Amino acid sequence: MTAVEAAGLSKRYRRTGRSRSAWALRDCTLAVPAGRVVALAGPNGAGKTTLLNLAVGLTTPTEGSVTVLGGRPAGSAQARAGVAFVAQDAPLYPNLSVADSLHLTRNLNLRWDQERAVRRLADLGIPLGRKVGKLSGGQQAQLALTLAIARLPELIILDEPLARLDPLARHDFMASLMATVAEDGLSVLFSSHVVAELERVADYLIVLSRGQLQVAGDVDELIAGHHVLSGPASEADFYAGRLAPVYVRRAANQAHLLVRMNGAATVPAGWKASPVSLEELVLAYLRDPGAAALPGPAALNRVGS
Amino acid sequence: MTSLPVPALAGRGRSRPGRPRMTWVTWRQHRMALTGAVILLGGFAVLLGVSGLRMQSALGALTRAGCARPGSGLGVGTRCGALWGSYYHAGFPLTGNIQWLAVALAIVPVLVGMFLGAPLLAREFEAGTARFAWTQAVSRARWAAAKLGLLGLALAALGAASGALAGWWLLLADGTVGSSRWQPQQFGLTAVTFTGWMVVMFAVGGLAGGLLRRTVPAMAATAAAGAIALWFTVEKFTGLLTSVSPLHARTSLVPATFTAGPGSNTLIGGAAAAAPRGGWALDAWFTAPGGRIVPVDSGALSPLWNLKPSAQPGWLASHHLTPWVSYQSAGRFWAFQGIEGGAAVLLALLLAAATVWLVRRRAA
Repeated sequence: MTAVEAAGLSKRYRRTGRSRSAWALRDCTLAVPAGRVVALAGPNGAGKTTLLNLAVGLTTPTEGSVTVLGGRPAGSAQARAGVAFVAQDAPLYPNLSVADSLHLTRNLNLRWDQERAVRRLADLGIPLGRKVGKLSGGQQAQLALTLAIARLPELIILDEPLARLDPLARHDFMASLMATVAEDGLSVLFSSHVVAELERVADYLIVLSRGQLQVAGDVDELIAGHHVLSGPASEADFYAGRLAPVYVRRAANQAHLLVRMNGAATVPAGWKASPVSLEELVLAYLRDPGAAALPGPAALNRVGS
Repeated sequence: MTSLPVPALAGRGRSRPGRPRMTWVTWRQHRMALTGAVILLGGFAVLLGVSGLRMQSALGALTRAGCARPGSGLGVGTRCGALWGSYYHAGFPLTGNIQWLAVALAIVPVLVGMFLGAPLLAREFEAGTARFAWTQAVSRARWAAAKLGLLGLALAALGAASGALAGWWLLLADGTVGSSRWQPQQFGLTAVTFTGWMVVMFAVGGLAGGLLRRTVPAMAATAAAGAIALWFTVEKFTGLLTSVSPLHARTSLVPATFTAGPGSNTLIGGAAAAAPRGGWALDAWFTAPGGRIVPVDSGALSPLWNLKPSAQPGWLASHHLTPWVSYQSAGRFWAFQGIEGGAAVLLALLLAAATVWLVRRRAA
């Protein structure tokens, strides 16, 4: 089953005031497998929020289609029953108490696990009687996540859940999210413009840049398939032409090429291959969107089957 | 590609198989604004209730003493003068300021539109909470329809109760200033029309919030729409009534009441007192033999206005003048009420339907 599946998904926003319109997302085709923790990375304005809003039905596509949880149209009643969404900045009603926020969400949903929500908040030390507006940013994010988890979803989608959190709160937030994932085996799709911490939590990666899909794939496979080749600068141009590297860096007489290598490729004689970190990989792709090596159709098909 | 199996929902346990309850959601999120409306109208209710009950007991005393009711066009005997005085005193100061009272009450539905209708959607957009509310299992159309419907019903009940009380009070106060429930400012203060005003202004606010997506501009737009609607209704109401074919009648009471009050220097103001009780005079004139029409402000009539009321019928007879008045009869009052109230409720339903459609259609 796929958690999220998009086909030719595009979104163009009409600019109010001027007649110019801009594509926030262009021809995005992907199939995210279920049961994974998927990171959606990309710089600000890359179209991450647009993609997530399309997946939860807050926005309708200009072109193409998007489904969740094995073919349920995004935003449909069946989709909303199985997908919980935590929007950017975790919007909640500030004048409601924590207990009333639970009760409100319970009354807006078909499934609800009150006991679990209360236990989770107790573990986090968030008092039920406090007004939401009086909670810290980290506590508000945790409350929003608790409300999402208590809906017993099959897929949780979070838009920049870490953006407003300090490093400690980030760690706590991701740890509690991961604990839930481990417990329930649900799928998680979260966006982040912070690339540094993705490797620890995500096992599937999507990279968006300027509204275009750049990378989509299993984290382990991506790391296993990419290498930095180091060798004589004099041979750099020759190999750069043949290996289509993501980047070429030249020092005085050494050159470094980040290349995507499938099983058949061999390291040229006189060159040294070294592994690449996920952060390095993402940054390399983001630095040069034009030269991006997109996952081939075969890879997508394999994911979708 | 490996993927963890998704556990069956049944295996999770502890979940409450439930059904969404928008009633609680609506009450919890809007109870402050609703309470504000209740307190505001409750204040008016206390004022009107106390003053109305005192006028009612004063009128009862008048009836027991066999005195004529003030405003009936009959004279005051010395015996009844003190009782009339106590009746006037009972309603004061509200009875002396009926126009201000009517304006203050007419503003309440506009305030309801501004503080309950306009923020309903605008605040959700502004705070980003629409992205929370519209991604729950309850569909956004149902969410919007339930909020508009439940709050609209509550406001309709509040409007009906307040309008009924104001209508009751206005009937009691009728004798004090010769005012009429037909007067445009007072016409909106019955259970029928006030209910209509409450729901239509709430719906205007709701749609403004959905369109403008910002609370303060939506409130301003609602206030502007309310001001225009009130102005239009008050200014054009008489014109609308005259477009419905009025009843014509000849009545011997006309000259007597033309001299009754300071309002008699204007045509309608004077004629208002000339319609049969409970009706609404639109025009008044005299006819000379041969059907020639003599307007009320004709110079030929000036000797008439200087005569005592008792001498006026004789003067008219000797000059062969017949008084006429065109009026809407008392029996038509509730039909006109039904037209204004019904139109307002219908418009409110259309605006609410447009708002729900907008919520369904537009992106958050």
